[in-house]
Amino acid sequence: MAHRPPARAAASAAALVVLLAGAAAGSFAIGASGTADPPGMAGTIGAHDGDLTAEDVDAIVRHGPWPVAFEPDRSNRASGRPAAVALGRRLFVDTGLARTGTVSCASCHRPELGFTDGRARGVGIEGLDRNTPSLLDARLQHWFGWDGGSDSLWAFNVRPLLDPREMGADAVRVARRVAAEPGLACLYREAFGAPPGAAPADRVLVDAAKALAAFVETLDSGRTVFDDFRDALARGEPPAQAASAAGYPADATRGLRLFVGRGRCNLCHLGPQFSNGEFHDIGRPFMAAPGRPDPGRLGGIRAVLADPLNLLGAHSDDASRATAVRTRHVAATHRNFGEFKVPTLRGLSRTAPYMHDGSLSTLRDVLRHYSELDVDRLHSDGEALLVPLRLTPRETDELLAFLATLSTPSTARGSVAAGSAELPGTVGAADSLGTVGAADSPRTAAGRASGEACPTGP
Amino acid sequence: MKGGAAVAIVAAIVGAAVAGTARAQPSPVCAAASGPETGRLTHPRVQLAWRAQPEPIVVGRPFAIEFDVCPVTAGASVDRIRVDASMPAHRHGMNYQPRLAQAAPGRFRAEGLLWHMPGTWQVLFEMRIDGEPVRLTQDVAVR
Repeated sequence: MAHRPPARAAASAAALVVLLAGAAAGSFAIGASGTADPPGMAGTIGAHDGDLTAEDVDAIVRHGPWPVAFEPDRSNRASGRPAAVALGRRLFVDTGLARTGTVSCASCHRPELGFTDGRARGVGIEGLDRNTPSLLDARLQHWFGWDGGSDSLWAFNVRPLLDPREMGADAVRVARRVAAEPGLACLYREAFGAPPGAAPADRVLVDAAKALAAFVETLDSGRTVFDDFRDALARGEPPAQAASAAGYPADATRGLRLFVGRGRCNLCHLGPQFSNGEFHDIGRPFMAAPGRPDPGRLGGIRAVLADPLNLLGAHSDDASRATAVRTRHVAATHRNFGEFKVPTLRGLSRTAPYMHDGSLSTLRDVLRHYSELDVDRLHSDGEALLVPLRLTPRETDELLAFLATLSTPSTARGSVAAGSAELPGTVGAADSLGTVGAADSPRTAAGRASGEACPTGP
Repeated sequence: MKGGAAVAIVAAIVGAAVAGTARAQPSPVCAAASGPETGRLTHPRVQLAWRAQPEPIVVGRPFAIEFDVCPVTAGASVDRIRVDASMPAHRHGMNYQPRLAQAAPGRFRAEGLLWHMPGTWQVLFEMRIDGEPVRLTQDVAVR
C-alpha cells in the first residue's frame, strides 16, 4: 500500500476518460475526472491493496475532521442551553403529547437503530409515506426531512407533533401537557424563564420544539475507525502506516478509494457528514401509493416557503436573519420533482432499510441500485451525474467494507467515546445511547444534570 | 462539453431565470475596491471585475458576488444585468436564485449564491449594453 506515482495516476485518469467515453454511447454519461485502473484492469481495483494516490488522500482528508465543533443555532435561543436539553430529553419520550397518548418521538427514533425505527416507512398513529430519518448529527443539516420541507431543526420538530398521522397533537394540547406535568413545567421554566401557563399555546408549542431541537443537537455519532484513518492521513502518515495504526481494513481502503475515485460518490456524499445536504434524483420510484406521487423536493420547497415557522418568520430568534439565507434564495424548478435529500453515511449500518421510501432493505441492495442504474428513470432534463457503476462482486464487497467503517466506533485513545447516557422514562436501559455509538457530549451530560433539579416524569 | 453545448445550457439557464436583473449606472472605474479580485472578464464592449464574498468560495456555503461593470464606450447604457452559475459538465445550475442590488454607480452585489458540489462551476454575467446582449462567463474550480 504505497503511494502511487503521479505519472500512473495521470495515465489512469486519461484511461478513465476513454473508458467512460466508450461506455457513454447510448446513455447520458459524461466525461469525468478522477482515477481508476486502466480498462484492462476494470474490476481489479483491489489488486494494489488499497494503493492511494495523493489525489485520493486529499479527497479522503476532506471527510473530516470529526466531530464537527458545536455551534449554537442562532435561530433557537434554547440551543445549547442545559435546561432546554433536559426539557427536550423529557419531551422526546413523552407519550402524553400525542393525541392518542400512545406514541412519542422515541417510538420512531430508537437509539439502538441510529434513531430510526427499522421499518421501510414510519408508523405513528397511522402509517406514513417515507422512511424515518436518523436524528444523529442532525445539528449539522440545513434542510430537514427527505424533502427539506423545514429549514430549522426546531421547525422540523413541529411537523410530527401536529401531523395527524404521526402524533396528532395541536398547540393547545402540547401547552396543556407541558403546564400540567410538573417535571415538564419545571424544566420549561428553567429553560425559558417563565412558566408555560404564562405564554400563548402557539408559543409553548414552538418552545417545546426548540427544546426538542436542543436535545437532538446533542445526538452526535461518535468517532469511527474511518476518522482514525483519515486523521492519520491528514497528519501526513503514509497510507499503509495510517491504516495499520488505525486498524483500518485493507478491503475498506480499496472501497474508500473506489468511493472517492471511479465511483465519484463524494460529489454528493461529501465533507465530514458525507452529504452535501442538497437534493438529487437518483432514479428511485417516487410513488407514495398507487396513483399518488411523492413530489419530493418540489413539495418541500413549497412547504418551507409557506411555513410560518420558517427562518424568515417571527418565531426565529435570529434577528439578523443571517441563518435564513438559504430560505430566502431557494428556487423551485420542475426538476425538483422526485428529488430527495442526500443522507449522511455515518452510522449507516444501523439505519436499514434505505432510501426515502425504505424500498431497499440492505446496503448491498443500495449498491446494486447504483451499479445497475436505470438511467431511463432519471429526469431527462435533469443533471448528468449518474452512470451505472457496473461494480464487480469484489468491488461491492469492498465498498460495503468501507461503509461499515463509518459505523465502527473508534478504538483510539482520547477519542470521543460512545456514551452511557440513557433516555428517561419508558425507553429504558436497553436503549442507552452508549449502545449505539452516539457520543455522550458535554452538552448531553449538562442537560442531564440540569434535569435533576426538576421532578422526574410520570 | 464546452463550446456549443455549454452555450446552449447557459442560454437555457438564462431563459429560465428571471430574478437577479437590474438596470445599471456604469462604473467610473473598473477596480476591485473592496478586496482582491476573484476574476476579471473582458469583452469588446465591457470590462467586468468581480470578487466573491467571502473568499474563497467553499462548497455548500452561501456567498455573494460583488462586481464592477465598466463599458468601454463612455456613456453607454447598461441594463438587464443578471448573475447565475452552473456546472456545465454536470448539466445543472444552482439550487438557489441570487438577487441583485446596485451598491454604487457601476457596482453590483448578487446575494444568495451557493455551490453544492465540488468541481468546475461557470459564473455567468449577462447584461445588455446599448441594447446589445453581452454574456461573460468564467470557470471556477471549487473543492
